[in-house]
Formats: sequence, structure tokens, C-alpha cells
Amino acid sequence: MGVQHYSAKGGKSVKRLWFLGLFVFVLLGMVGLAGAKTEIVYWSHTYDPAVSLTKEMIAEFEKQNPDIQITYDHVPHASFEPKLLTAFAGGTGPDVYWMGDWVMPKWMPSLTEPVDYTVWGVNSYEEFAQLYEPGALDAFTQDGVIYTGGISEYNTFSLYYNPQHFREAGIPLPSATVPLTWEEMAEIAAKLTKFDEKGGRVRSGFETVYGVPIWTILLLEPQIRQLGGELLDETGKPRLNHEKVVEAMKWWHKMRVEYKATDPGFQSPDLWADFAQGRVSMTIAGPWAISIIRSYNPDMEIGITPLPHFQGSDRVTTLYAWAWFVNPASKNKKEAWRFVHYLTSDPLRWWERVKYIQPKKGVLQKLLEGEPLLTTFLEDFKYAQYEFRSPNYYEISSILTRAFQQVVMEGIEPQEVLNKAQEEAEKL
Amino acid sequence: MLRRIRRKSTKGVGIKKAERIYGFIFALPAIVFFAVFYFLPIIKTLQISFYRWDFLSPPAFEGLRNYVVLLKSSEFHNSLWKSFYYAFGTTIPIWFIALGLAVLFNRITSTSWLYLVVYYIPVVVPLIVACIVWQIMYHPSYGMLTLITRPLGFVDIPWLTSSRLAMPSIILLSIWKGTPFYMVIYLAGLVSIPREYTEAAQIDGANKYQVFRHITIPLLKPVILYVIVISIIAALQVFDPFYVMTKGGPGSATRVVTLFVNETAFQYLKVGTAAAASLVFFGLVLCLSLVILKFFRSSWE
Amino acid sequence: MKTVKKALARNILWHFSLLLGAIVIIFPIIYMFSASFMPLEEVFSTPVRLWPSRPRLLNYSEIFTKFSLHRYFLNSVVLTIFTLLCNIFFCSLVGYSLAKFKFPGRDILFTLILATMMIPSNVIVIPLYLLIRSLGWVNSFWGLSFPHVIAPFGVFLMRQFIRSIPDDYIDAARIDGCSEFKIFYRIIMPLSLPAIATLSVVTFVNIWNLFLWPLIVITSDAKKTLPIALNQFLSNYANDWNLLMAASVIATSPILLFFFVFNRGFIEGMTGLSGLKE
Repeated sequence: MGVQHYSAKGGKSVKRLWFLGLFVFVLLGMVGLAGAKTEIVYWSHTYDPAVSLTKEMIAEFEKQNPDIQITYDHVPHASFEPKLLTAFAGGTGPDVYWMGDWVMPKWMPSLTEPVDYTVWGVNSYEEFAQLYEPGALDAFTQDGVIYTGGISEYNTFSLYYNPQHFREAGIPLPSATVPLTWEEMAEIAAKLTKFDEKGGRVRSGFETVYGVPIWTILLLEPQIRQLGGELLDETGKPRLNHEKVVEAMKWWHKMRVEYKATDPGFQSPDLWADFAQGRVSMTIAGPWAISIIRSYNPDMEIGITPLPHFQGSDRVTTLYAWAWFVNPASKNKKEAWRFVHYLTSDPLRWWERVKYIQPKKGVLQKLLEGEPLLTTFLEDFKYAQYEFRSPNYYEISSILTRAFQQVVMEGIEPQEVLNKAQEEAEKL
Repeated sequence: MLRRIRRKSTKGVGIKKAERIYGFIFALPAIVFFAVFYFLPIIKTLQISFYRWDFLSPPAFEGLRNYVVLLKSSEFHNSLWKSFYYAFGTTIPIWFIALGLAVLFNRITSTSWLYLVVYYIPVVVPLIVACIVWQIMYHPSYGMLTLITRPLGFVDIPWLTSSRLAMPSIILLSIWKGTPFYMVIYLAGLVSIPREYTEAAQIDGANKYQVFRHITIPLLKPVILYVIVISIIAALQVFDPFYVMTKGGPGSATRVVTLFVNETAFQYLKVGTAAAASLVFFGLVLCLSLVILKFFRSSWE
Repeated sequence: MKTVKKALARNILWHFSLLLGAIVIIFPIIYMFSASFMPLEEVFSTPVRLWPSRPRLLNYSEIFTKFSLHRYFLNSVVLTIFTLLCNIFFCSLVGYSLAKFKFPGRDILFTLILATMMIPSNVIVIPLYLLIRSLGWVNSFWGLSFPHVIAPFGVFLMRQFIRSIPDDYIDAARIDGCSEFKIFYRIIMPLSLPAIATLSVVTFVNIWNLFLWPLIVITSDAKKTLPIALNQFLSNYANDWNLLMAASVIATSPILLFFFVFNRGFIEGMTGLSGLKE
């Protein structure tokens, strides 16, 4: 009976449904098929001020270069590197992307293309390096070859404070060029912390980002180095329970347990809003934070003082940079470099809109004219050192972050926590 | 018409064959689908677990090394423990609360239908929404829960930032979200028990509790078993709240296996280790299911 | 008289406890709706506010201008509807074949399909990702939806339900010369509507809520689904609680609507599930 009997009339309503579904995403698929221009895919991480400026610059670039079309995408900061790596592995990586300096051991040179300096009108890597402040491109140079088209943000961390809170409490405002000591800063933070009648926290003297691996290193490493220690030994192996690391961690323990000046649970999910709206008196961040804070509170009086140091220790601050790269597997390298060239052509704009510093020669002085707060960052740049370099950066920073969280969230003794962390780190 | 019937009767064997062929054809999509998307991946995972791979460079064969590393890894042991802590912490209360609620609901009138719909809402709400809402509710200073805790004298409760409270906080969220689902399953079971049994027992002089214990529960055994098994398996697979609300923190207090595997594969790019970890976990889940089934079967007889 | 009073008291107690439970259960949802209308300062006030003093409708427009919520919403809608239709079709087809046909390996197949429900998603996520990648489906709609077009639970549900359809209907149709496929969609599917309603609600909820898979598969911002977008809002706009709540309301409404429309069929279908006694 029915073996070859496929009633055409019968399947119709079901077929119709199918066609509808098929139609819907053929339509969606077609939206992707653009004209026959050179397509450049650009990825950055998601950061609102940067994203909106990027979109503007892309529109301008496309107008000036009608043969190039830029497909822009942004990925959350937290999963940026893994997402990029898996995309590269699958052959679907972008043509242009930006990336941080601390992962260069893994990325340079296999995932970064040497810069095509001719696009910048120079004739060698040395000349290209001279477009920037001396030493700025060191993190992106290997064997004399420069692998980046330019730095997108050049950062150090300084201490932000709320001058109004200081005045109310009768505390003299710190200097814009001379740092406090960590001990002084802790006492001030304790003084500025407020509780209500029931004992609930209403204001924290100090808060920072406690759960993100990169931040942990940026916060702890300067302290460790100030004390004369390092996270890695000479052979590059981690030593997380080294006495200097423990000592640095002890400061955080004191802040939490003894001074009660900080409480990770108190933070609303957005630390910058907390600072801008007066729930937090002090925090540590790079220059870029100025624009976010102002976006929450345009008239806020922001105070910045250099990163504190331990009593009697040298001044050491942190340094980290993001830069633009081209994918070695890109099929449109020339156009990609032209796009990067455009992105690096107007550092003042990046500063104004996003407060990102592109350390091209002479730029820093110009920026200072428009933003006096920059004085402190320039001061801190003098003592800035890049983070440790290790192919296991992610694992080490994650292990240290977990230890950090236990100290600051639970108040557990640093030595104990760091011993466990070292055990774990040794297995890497 | 008659001719067709006669043709049919001589094609007796043909019908059986046609039926078999059609049955097979209709089932074919499933055969292909499940083979490709479920069974082949398991074998592939097994294969990957014997290699060291980071998605980028060529895979390097390592034999059982990944398993040995996991055996010694305290982080992995911790995540196993945390997964089971979460699973039982969530499901055990659910088993009882859901049954209690189902009993309460076992009077389907038109009003209780409205209640049923309202009670089911937590199940229907997207998990990410539940995570966002509860995360805000859990804020020590501005969260809704302070309305209850402050009058009682508790301030600044670190719901999600204390290693003791973080897991129970997520468990509470999960109980809120999952209970109505199982309540409806229990209800379905209760409803299917013929009235005559319970009425007969009551006529014989049994009170409500005796009826419940000796008639209802035994008749519900298959449903109870079903609920226990699927609730545990479902709880062991939960990922979202741990990723969204705590990312495994504070420390490793909420780093369950699902999070561990995801991080190991997609953050640290240790694909082989992640594959091995997921298989070990799978093995444990299977053993647990078998143990539960055995236990139930024996207590049944 | 006494028993009437007792019955009345018991009724009141029953209603009261259910009502109390209901309030506790939907309290977070009520808060979500309430906070979605609050201006930002009110969300961050102490003592905590339950209701907005002046509802801020602007929240609902800002989530579209500031968050571009419409794009992610559309992605979720398209994904869910497509996957739902596929599931309805395939789960019914396969359920029908497992319920009403005899062919070698039928029972083994059914057991295997049931067994897949026991596989933790962890175990297959990585190879699935590799498979999707080799097909070039990373960051594509296909890669996102294909692994979900036939849900094991759906097959189970339809098979259980279809078993209860009397064979006579099918036999009569066969005798009348109906093609097998016609029998399927003219007889089986209409009769299975309660189960299809259940399947629809369950599938809708599952696909709408998918998190881990889209997290891995989708890399471009424009293709994100609602849950992933919401998660991102939580980090990027972490302070805009009121907007987050408004976005959550928008994310929840379609499901709630769907559920309210189909709830009767859904419950009936679930109740038909008590053929689990095997």
C-alpha cells in the first residue's frame, strides 16, 4: 500500500511550516552577505566608551577608504583571550584585534604579525619605535622585530580618593606627586569607613576589584616588589608563599579584619558607580577610570594621589598596556595595517573620549594640558614595571586570586592560604 | 474498496514489512541525531582525554596522564565534593517540599488551578533572570533580604561573599526555582491513584496519615524514584548560577565540576584534562544512579 | 454542624497556607517588576524600598537604546521558534514510531534515548564544539540550534502519550488507504495536542534559557541570545539595577505569556505522564 505512496497533498501544511522556518533564516543569512569589498574583521573587548569611539572611527575610516569594510565585534573582557584563542584555533580569528601585554609570551610571535612600518611612513623597526616614548614598545618587541601597530592604552595604577570625604573627616588632602604609605592609607581608610546605627556598613574607606585574576596581579605585584620580592623565582617558577608575598597579603588582611576598611560584599556590582556616588572613599585604578566615574557623576571632584608604598621601601608601581595586532593568517594584511594606522592617528581623541593613553612621543605632555589629574599618573609611570611573564600567567593569577579572595572575604590568615596556593601552583 | 481489502489480506506479510520499514524511517532522524550529537561526542571526549591539547597546537598523546593529574588535584576533588554538596543540598529539601505541596494541591478545583499556575512561575522564569534578581536580593546593604534580616538584628550578611554562605545561597535559589517542577510531577502521580484505594482504606478505619503512609506512598514509589533520579542528575549539571553569580568564588567555595570543566577547557585551554574530568564525573553520576536504583528496587521488595 | 465547621476551617487553612506560599514564591518576581520601574536612586536606597515612588517608564526605553535589547530578543525568538517547531515535528515522529511500530532494535533505541538524558552536558560540550567548528558553524544560527532540535525528553513524552492512542484509529485509517505519513499528521498529531502543549512549554523554556552552549558557540555581539546578553549587562552595566530588572522583565514575559496561554494543556499533558510506571 503505502510504501511508495507519498501523498503530496498531505505533507503540505507541514512543508509550509518548514519553508517558513527556512525562509526566516535564509533571510537572516543573507543579511550577512555584503558586497564585494575587502572585509576586515576587528575584535576588541567590551568597554562602552571605547566601543562607541571605535564605531565612530570605523565609520570615518570606511568613508575615507570605500574599498574596505570593517566588521566590528566586541567580546566581554573576562573571556576575551580564550575566545580569541579558540577562534584562531578554528581559523575564524579576526584580522585586527587588541590584546594585553601580559600574554605576549604565548602570543608573540605566532599569533601576531610583524608591523608593516611602511604604512606609517618609516623605513625600519627602530624608526617605528621612535614614534613612541622610549621603551614603550619593549613588551611587544622580540629580537628587534616589533609585532604591534601601536599601543591602545598605556596604564599605571594610582590611588583615587574623594576629597569631600577627606575634608569632612578633617584629613589633609594627599599630594598629587608624593605617595602616602600603605600604613597611612589604611588608617585613613578606617577613619572614612562609616556604619549605621544597626552596624550595617554605609560607606567603605577603600574598595577594589577582588575577583579578577589580572587585577590581583596588578594590585599585589607592586606591593611585593616594593618589599623586594617577586612572584616568580629566577627560573620562572611561582613562589606564592614567599615571605614578601605573605607580607603584602598581610596588609590586605589587616585592612579587612582589623581596620574593617574594606568589604567585598559591600560593593554594588559596579565599583566605579560606588566611588562616583560616594559609597566608597578610595580606590585604585588607571587613567581610564576618570571617564567612567565622570559618566556616573559629571561634576564629581576627583582626587588622585600616587600609588602608596610601604614605609621605607622603594617606589614601585605597575605598568600594563594593550596594543593593536594583526593576525598572521589574515588575507588582507595591508588593509588591516591601514586600519590600525587610522586607530593610532589621533591619540588626543582616545584620551578625551576614553581616557586611554597612546604613549606616542610628545603626547603625554599635550594630554597633561587638558587634564591636570594626569600629573599623578605621569609621576607613577616613572616607577612603573610590567607584570611577570609566564606561559602559565592565567593559572597563576587565578590561583593567587582565589587565595586573595579567601584573605579578603573570609579573613583567613595569609600564610595558610598562600601555602595552599603554592601547592597548587607547583603542580602546573 | 473490496479489491483493496483483498489485496491487503494477501499481502499479510507485506504489511508487517511495510510497518517495520516505516517505523524505522520515522525513527531514523532520531537514530542519526542521537548518534551524532550524543554518542559520538562521548567517544570523542574519551579520545581527547588521552591527549594534551590547547585547541591551537597539534594534540600530544599522553595516555593516562590526565587522569593521574586529576587524581592528585585537590581542586578537582574540591569541585566533585562541591557538586555533590550542591546536588543533595538542593534535591533533598525539594523531595520533601514538593511532595508536601503536591499533597496540598491534590484537590483540583478551579481556584487551585490558578494557584498551580502561580506556583509554577519560578520554573518558567529564565535562570539568568533568577540569578540577576537573586543576586540583587542578596546584596548585604541594598538587597531585599535585608527587609527580613535587619529587623532580626543581622546586618551585612555576606550571602555571596562568604565561603560558608555562598553555596547555601545558591542552593536556596535552586530550591525556589526547582520545587514547583517536581511538585507537578508528584501531583500527576497522586492524581493517578484511584480514589477507591484511599476511600476503601478510610472506610476500614484508617486515618489520613495511615492512608498516606501505607497506600499513597507505596503507590507513588515509581514517581518518587523518577523524581529522585532526574532531580539529582539535573542538579549535577547546573552551570549558570555558578558562572553568573560567584564564578566559583569566594576562593573555591562554589567551584562545581561544571565550572571546573568549562574553565579548564576554555580559560586555561587544557582540553585533555577537561575531557578527562568530565568523564570521571560522568562515571560517578552513573554509579550514583545505579546505587539509587538498586536501593529502591530492594526496598521495594 | 461540627463537621461543617471543621471542613470550613480546614478550607480556610488550606487557602491561607497556599496563599502564603504563593507570596513567598513569587516575591522575587514581584520585586523584579517593581524595581524595573524604579529610578536608580530608589534601588540603592536604605531602607530598601518595595515600590517605586514615581514609576520611571524611561527604563523600558533605555534598555532598547542603551542595551540594544531588541537585537538579542529577536535572536532568542528566532532560535526558540525554530527549535520548537523542529522538536514538535521530530519528537512526535520518533515518539510515534517508538510507540506504535514494531521494528528490530526499537526498544534498545528507546532505552538509549532515555539514557542520553543521564549524560551530563559537560561530557559532550567539547566534542560538540569541535564538530560545530569543523562544519564551520561556529558563531552561526545552525551551530546554535542543531544540537537541540530533538530533545530526549520530548521523544519520551510523545512516545508515552502516543501509546495511549487507541490502535483502532490507526488501523482504520490504514484500511482506508491512508499513507503512513498522512496518518501521522492527520490523526496522531491532532490527538497528541495536550502532549504537544506540554512539549512546547518545556522546549520553549529550555531553549529560551540556553546559556552554556550559546556562551561557547556565539562570539559576535550581534548574534548573542538574551541570556548571554543579560549576563553581559550584569558585568557591563552592573550598576543599572533598574535597567537590569526591566531587561529581565522583557526576557521573562514571552515565556510567561506562552505558559499562561498553554498552561491547561501543559498540566494535562504532564498528568498524562503518570504512565511512568514501568
